Amino acid sequence: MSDTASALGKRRFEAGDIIFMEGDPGTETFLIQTGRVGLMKRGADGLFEPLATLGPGQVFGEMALATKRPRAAGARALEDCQVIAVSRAHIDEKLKDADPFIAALFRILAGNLESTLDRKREVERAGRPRTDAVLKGRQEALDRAMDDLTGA
Amino acid sequence: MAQDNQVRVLNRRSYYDGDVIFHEGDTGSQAFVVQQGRVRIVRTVEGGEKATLGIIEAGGIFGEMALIDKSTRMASAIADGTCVCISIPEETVRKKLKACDPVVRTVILMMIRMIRTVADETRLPPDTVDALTREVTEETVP
Repeated sequence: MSDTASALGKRRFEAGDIIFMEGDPGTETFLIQTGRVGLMKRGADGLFEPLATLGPGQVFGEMALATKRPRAAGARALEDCQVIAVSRAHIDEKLKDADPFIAALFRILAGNLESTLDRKREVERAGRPRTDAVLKGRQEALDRAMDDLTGA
Repeated sequence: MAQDNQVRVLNRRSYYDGDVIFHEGDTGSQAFVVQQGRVRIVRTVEGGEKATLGIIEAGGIFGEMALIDKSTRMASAIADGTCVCISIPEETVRKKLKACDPVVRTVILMMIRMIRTVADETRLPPDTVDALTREVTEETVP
């Protein structure tokens, strides 16, 4: 039970606290219980541009659970707030005990999410995505996940 | 194991090249595994053209998202050459999701929502015969 409490932790932030910075490694997803959080991105001129304001019941930092990418934006408490932080270690533990179908499904979706993000980045950079080569690589990872699904 | 028996009693269907397994915008009620052949996932982009999101090879799964979040098909699935697909019963997926840890379930739903959002935000260029031919040539050069 104490493992759950520490992995699924309640955190308090004071107004102005930086919760995480753009570019930080992301290992936790946050659910806001009370208070408001502002997301921001560093613009071309080096100044922070506000992206969104989130309130109770909303989630931020969710990419961290599915991918290993650094934070795409920074998050700061706009007022005193209480959040629940879910770590990837917590999810990995849960997946170990989960039905193999669910674990396989999770891996497949995480892989698809990575592909979708890759593709978006490719399109934004070059105006034309690689298709089959990138996706074949992903497919190998998916095939392994599929073995669990079909009980192979 | 009873579970294995459940997984093996599945519907299998053959498709000819170009057959539509499901249409973008349809309500989804089945997920599929490619047993043989390939399935092309195609989405409509600006101007009404089509763009290939990916190719699912044998052993790959597709169609799982709309089944889980009860939304519509994000793209069409079209047989690329003759292929054989197995459909995964909706009941099985729903039951397993219901039984799984709520945090895991929430993250699964979040990932689906993200995939949909990012796909909507991606301004894919449409497939053209020239582009597809060029890609094939590039890949075969080691």
